Amino acid sequence: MRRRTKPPGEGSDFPMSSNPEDIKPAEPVHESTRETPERETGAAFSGSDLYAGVPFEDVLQCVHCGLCLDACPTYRTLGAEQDSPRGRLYLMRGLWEGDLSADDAVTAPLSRCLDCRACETACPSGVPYGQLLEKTRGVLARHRKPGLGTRLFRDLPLDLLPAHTNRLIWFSRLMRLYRKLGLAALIARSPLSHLLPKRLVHAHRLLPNFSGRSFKKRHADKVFAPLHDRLPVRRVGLFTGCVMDVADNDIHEAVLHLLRVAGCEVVIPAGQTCCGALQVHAGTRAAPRALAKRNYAAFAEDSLSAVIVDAAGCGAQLKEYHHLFSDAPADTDPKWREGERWHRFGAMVCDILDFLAGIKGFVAANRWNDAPLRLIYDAPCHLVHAQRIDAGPRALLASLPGVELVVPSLANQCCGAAGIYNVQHRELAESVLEAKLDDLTRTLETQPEATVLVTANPGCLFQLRHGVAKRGLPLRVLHPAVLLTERLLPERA
Amino acid sequence: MALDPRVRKKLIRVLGSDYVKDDPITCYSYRCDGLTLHPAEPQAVLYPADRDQLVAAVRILSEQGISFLPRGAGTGLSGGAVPREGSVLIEMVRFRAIGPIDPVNRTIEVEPGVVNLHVSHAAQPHGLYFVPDPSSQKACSVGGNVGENSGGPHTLKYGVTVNHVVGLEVVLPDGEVVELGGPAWTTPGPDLLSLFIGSEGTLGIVTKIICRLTPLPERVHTMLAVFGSVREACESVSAIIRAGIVPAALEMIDRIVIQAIEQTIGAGFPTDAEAVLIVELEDLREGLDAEAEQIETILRANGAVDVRQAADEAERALIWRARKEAFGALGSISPSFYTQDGVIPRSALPRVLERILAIGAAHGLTIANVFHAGDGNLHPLILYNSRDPAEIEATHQAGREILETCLAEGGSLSGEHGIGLEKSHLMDGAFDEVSLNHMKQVRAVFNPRELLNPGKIFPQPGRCGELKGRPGDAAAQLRAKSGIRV
Repeated sequence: MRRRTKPPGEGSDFPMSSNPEDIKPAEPVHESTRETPERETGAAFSGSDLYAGVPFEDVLQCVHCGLCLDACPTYRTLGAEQDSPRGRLYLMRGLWEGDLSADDAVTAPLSRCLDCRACETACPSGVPYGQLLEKTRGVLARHRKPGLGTRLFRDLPLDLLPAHTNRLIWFSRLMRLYRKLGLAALIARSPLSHLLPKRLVHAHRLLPNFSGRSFKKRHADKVFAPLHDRLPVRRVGLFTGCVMDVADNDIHEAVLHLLRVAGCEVVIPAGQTCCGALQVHAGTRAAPRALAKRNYAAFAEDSLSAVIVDAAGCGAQLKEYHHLFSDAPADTDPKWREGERWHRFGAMVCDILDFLAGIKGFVAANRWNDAPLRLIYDAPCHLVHAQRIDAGPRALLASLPGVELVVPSLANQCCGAAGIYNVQHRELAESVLEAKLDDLTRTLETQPEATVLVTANPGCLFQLRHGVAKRGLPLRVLHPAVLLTERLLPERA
Repeated sequence: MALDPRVRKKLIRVLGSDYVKDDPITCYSYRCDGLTLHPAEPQAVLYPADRDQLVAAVRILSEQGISFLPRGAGTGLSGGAVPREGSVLIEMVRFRAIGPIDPVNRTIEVEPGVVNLHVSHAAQPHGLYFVPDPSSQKACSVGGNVGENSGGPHTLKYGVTVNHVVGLEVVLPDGEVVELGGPAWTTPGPDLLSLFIGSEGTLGIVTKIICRLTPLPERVHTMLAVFGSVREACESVSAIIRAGIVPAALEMIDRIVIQAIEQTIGAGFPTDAEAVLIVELEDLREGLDAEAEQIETILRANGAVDVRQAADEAERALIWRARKEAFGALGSISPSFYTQDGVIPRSALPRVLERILAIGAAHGLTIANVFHAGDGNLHPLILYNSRDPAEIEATHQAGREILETCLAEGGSLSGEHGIGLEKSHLMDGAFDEVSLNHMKQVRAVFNPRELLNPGKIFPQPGRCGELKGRPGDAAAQLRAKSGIRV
């Protein structure tokens, strides 16, 4: 054993004296393990009240093995147990069993979760983490009023906008004008930005390209015929969502076109609305249930073989309405409460990439530009972890003529967008994004020919656009549907 | 109980206020590691960033006589990172530096918070890897591996962590920093490096690890043998070893675990089989096929109804994922289970497994088995309901009987999970008082006041009768006599 340093001012090697009396045993620093934590205020609720009517037994599936830890972006960033999936499940269980009270201290780590669900992929016990977290956030929201900032920046916009197409159009027009006038750029870059709330300034960097018009309204209730007859015909519905209905319209247009060259007859029901995911992630339960019913009715047409979604987050939500209704109030009509109807609906929901990958001969039936392209793939969390869709989209993109697909080592890890998390928890989201950008930078070192990065979820798209601009990476960030359409050659006359 | 405000102030001065936490939620979150049966809250959790911060924090705690212990990813199964006496927990997760790698001497320097699997990822471009592969390798820390002397399926051929670490930098409980071993392949004198590896965080806190790397095998061949009985599977294990073949791994999974795996992971294991054996061969390209054929013959001669070969890396990865995540998969069929880690001589496998099933039946408990058959390291998993106090008591009793069975067969209490607080009360059944006293004296040389990770490994007073004299006294006398300078 070699000595490296010696404690300053110590003569002997050990804090030990020859007199045994000096060697005091460690003071009993902790009388006993606390059985029940202090309930701080009368406003706190006990477990049974908290989770009344909410099925939560699945939390017991967690065996505390910790295999999820390294999959969790917040644990990797913060390194604290309570910011890991295992730690959060332990807190949720503590709340459920009445061991913990619903106060700010327990709410904070639960609200710091990105809900990316990478832990579900890592979990050997099959713990339905996302569902448990969303229910817990619902439970907490029921009993605790969020702060003014959260109400102003999160809850109010979520209440006012997503479910109302006309308001969305007006909002989109305003935002478009705002950008055209150069105000957005001014706020994002000028010294003025130092005077404004950081969250607000940061939001400017994440803005979508608002178009000022609704894709759904323009195409509602028309029937789009297949563009050729080389593939079997099927009738599908296209889900348009909220923000994506009035922004970055090239994505929906691309998807519509791809479906038509995939042999589909496409309808865009006017009655559809936002999927409710952003509200569900924030802990709102009642309002999104109403949205679910509207979407169910809009796509109820018997002849539809699939509901096509081009936003991974919306796809995951549409497939999981049964969870949302599992804790619906007791007076809810049983036909909505029981899972079967939602399982049937969920089975029809299909991500555009997964759908195209499943159409035999889709690539062969069309003509493609075969110019060499090195393409970097990013897997949105709600595609790969929540919907467990991974191999299909990769295979589809890799099978395009001229395309060489590059999958970075962190392709399946969160970019920090997580819906509106990147506005809510700016600093943490930026740290999570940094890890992703480091990985992209390393990828570009070995694959300098790569020019395009694709990601199949709007939130991730805006976040990565911001990240790529911030880091100055020479990459175009596209939705894969837009890339596919770019590569598609027109039908011969 | 929160920290003394003066101590907190001192610690904050050293670590920064974000990295000294003693709020109730933090303390609650750190009540247990992979062992949930004996939760105990720390009085605070510290998150030092580097060695100097750690040394400063350790000095403050040591001066105040406050006990403390390190924690990595908290995946340990023997409660090694449970703060039994409300000690201060030192979270080592910020010690994340990896490298430099020395491909010529085949070593890599890592900090203790690095995830086990990341070491192999870093070494892979050089055609090397870090052998210890505990089932938790995608999450557990290398520091924890050193503390527990972790194994994994491939210990059969390659040995455990102690065989794959050549040097350590350690902070002793009084804040002194020492280096043990080093990049050279051997150091003279008593092997203190080996003494520290597997000491379960009772001798010092590791701050740097020089890992030995191993060339990736030229070829790997993985087989899955299906059996109609556990006994036949066990007998095949002995037959393979008797034939003079040392597979890289030889793992057994029984019917209950197979069914859990198929429910969650879906590895395509036959759910009607009573047991499957995973046999993995690693070697030079030449001769591997002949060895595989020989093993297949042995397996079939011992009753295997089917022997499948992994066709490619994807199939192999799926088999291993199923094996490594088997513990977790049980969560889908039982909310709680208690994992044992006894070791027995290989030849006793059939009879001990029958005895384990009998113990389970006698207590009305289901016991599943998934374990390292090749080296006789059992992992009986006792399934229980954590809300039934009678069943918890029966589980403890059954666990104790299983380990007593192992000891009676000439085996030991733990293969790789450590003694921790979980099995400390059984140590007096495994060792006589003289041996235990010697071990305590060794601990006292480095950890004289038992400030570091108290209440672990050795039986607690009151449970097995207090040992005479203070171990610290004996160590002081011993040191005075021998003139040992550490």
